[in-house]
Amino acid sequence: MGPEGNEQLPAMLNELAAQIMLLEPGDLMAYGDVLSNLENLLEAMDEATAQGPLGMLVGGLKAHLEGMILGSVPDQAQGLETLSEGLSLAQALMREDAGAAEVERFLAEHGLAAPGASEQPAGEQPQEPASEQAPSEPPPQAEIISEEDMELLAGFVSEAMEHLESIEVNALVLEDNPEDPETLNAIFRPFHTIKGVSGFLNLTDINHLAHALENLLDLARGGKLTIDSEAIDVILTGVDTLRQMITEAQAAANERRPRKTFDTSELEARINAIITQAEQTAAQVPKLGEVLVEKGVVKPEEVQEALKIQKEEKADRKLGELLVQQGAAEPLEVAEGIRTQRAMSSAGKIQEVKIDTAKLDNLLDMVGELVIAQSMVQANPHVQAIADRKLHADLAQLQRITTELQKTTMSMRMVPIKQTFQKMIRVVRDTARKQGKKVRLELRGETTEIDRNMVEKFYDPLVHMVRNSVDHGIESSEERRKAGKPEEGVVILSAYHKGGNVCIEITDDGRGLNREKIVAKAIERGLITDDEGMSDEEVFHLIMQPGFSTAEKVTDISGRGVGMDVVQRTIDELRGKIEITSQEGKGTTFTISLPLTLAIIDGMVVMVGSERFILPTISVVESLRPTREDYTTIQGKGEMIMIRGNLIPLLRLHEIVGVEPACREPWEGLVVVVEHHGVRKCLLVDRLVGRQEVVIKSLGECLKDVKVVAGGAIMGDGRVGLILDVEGVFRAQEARRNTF
Amino acid sequence: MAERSDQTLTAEAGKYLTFRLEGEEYGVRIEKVREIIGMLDITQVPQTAPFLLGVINLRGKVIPVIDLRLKFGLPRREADERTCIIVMEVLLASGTKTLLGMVVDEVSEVLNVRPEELDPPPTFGVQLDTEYILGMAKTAEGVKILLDIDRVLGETKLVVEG
Repeated sequence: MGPEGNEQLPAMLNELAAQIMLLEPGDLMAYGDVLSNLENLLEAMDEATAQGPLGMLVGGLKAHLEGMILGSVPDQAQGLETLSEGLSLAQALMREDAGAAEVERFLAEHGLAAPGASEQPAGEQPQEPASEQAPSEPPPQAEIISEEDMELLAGFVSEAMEHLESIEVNALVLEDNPEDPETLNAIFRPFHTIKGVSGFLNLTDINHLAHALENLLDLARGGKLTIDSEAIDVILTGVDTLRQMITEAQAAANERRPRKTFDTSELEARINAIITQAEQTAAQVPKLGEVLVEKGVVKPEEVQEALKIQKEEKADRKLGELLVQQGAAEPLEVAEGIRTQRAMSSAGKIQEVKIDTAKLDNLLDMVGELVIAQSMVQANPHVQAIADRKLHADLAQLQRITTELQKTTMSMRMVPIKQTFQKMIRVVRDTARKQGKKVRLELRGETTEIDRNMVEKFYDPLVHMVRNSVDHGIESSEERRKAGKPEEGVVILSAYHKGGNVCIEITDDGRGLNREKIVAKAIERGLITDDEGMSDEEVFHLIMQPGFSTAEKVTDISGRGVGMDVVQRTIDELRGKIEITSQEGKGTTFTISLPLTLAIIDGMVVMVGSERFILPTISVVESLRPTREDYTTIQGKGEMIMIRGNLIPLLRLHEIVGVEPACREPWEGLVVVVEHHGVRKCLLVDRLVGRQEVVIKSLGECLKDVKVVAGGAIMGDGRVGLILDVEGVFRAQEARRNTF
Repeated sequence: MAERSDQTLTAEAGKYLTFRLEGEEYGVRIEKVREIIGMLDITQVPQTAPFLLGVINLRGKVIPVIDLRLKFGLPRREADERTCIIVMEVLLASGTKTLLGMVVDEVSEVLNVRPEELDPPPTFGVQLDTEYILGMAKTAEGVKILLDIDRVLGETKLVVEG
């Protein structure tokens, strides 16, 4: 390191001092961060300084911090104080207010070993004098992780995965805006953290790779390196590799075996290439003014002007600011000053807390019970009979508060779908690239919120459908040109709330679905015998059946025929539904509707005889009282009701559930049209009670095989209401018909 | 048919909750009893065996309820003010525990059955499938049939194909 390394020391010490002040006892992640910074400090020193009192002091502090992390320092608060003192001493050293003697005394007082005795546990090799390059080949990972470290590892793994995800998203932002300092920082910091903790956990290979990537980002945010597509690719590849390595580390720890090695030499070579090139072009640390001139942001005269003002005014104005003020430059800042400022300011950040999701789920369940209990009290006839106005006013207030409480707790479970959507950018990018197609992804309604428990389950189906759109939906560039379409295909992902559900639409402007082809394939696979009487929607739903695939050849992305039925199953499990619309030559739209939350179901309450049943609203199309003329019977197909020109099969619900009904004729009762997987039938019930949101309760282990019922709900009067499973009802009907 | 040796028989000694069904006295291990409640409104569930009366709301939990009379092949009886539902924690064949309620004519008392009062289950002459019986308790008040409730409630098929 040249003498300029030493120039950075005071700034680094100041940053460290601030960081240490904010440390909480036991915050191991933050300790790791500080440790990493102490190491950087040591690296930044030139030979002489490192051997001298400052180097010894920092080395001693490093050893001390390691002791704290390893738990060999019993009093953490005291340990932090020592650290703070040591930093002050270091700063004093820099100001030359203290010397070697004070350092020796400090080290002896606190029993800190001199750095010569302790090896840097992160396993970093001695630095090359010329630069802060990624170190040489990491040693083989023969060690098995220790017991104490298991918990740390788990924490590290989960945080690291989050970090990697955010890096990925930001890397894509960077592609469009390679100079944005906030994004550069947002990528630098996670790499820095991963490097620190992995080093401490002796995950040397992860540490090396993260270190290399951190260097890359550091140069970028220092303005010494411009991020081009090669750099982005290197970053994304780095993320993938780190992800694999970290997953492997967790697996190896769980299975108590040594970790597999990963060959990162090629990747590191690429990183080094970028770094070396950047350093060659930047012979010395360029001045902000020069950089801006070189970029063509400002003219040399404007820089001169600003420098003159800077000198004249004597108030320590930043060149960058002056230039912006002059209107000579955009707030495209290169100066480290604004970056440091931002690092210190936390104004405007949303305060967040991390909560165990189990606690949150529990809370939500309890609140659900509260709503029911409160409504039961209110519905109690004895209570209603009390002629006390204050009582009823208080009860109304109680209801208002409970409803509000429910809304708030439900919203705690909701997360914006933005993150999931953003991940699709990469999916589209990769899929399109592999196929040599040009596809653009548009995202709409990213702030739409979805239940957190659903987000994870929903991710894989969404990926599959998006891939599908690019793979099968969008045609090749040539086909599109021939069809007179723009060469670049478009996939639109949009999310919105509608009628108590979350709707996610995947639209492509590709070739659309071909009804004949689908029918032919379905017949071939034995799914249907003919397509008579099937609506377009019903035909399209055939593609969701297992084993179905009309792809000419099986690409490795989709088309193996195992995808769409899994998608359907997952959507069913989430109690949602899929609608498919398509126009041949124009494109296809998949609309997925999901309930707002899994715990509560929106239902239509109907009466059959004296029993109450609940039909999930998501399956209900409409309800009506047919006339005698609308009713007909068709030989071999059973009873039908004519609704707006279509014959819909009639299903007598009282037969399915075994209850004596009040009405046996459709024109005396009510008919509810329900839909499942594109198929519509109508159910005969006595009457409609109303629409209600109910907390869905499992019927328990013993009754889980009852097909007709999806679960139970506690109704307002305290009795159990059965929630019907539309598919189960349809199947029961078919079974009955087959036995007669 | 598992033969119960004297050793296993001694293991069956302990506290039992006794109840009446059609004049006979039965007992179930007290550790498995969760609650005793009066008759509630039972919601029928389609596609289930006849002896499964339906489900009830037990403080927010949905619990299936079995009519023990029908399960044992005894005639049905109208519920009266002494009819109770005993909520048991049952070990299912799959190994999971679950709550199940059973309707009985009348709940009697908690009985401490001593080893010397125990007799092995009879091999014939009893209407009940002897698989269900842990043993017979001979007390001063009479003979009580001690039930293996996991077998009675847990291993039966409640769901019937529609």
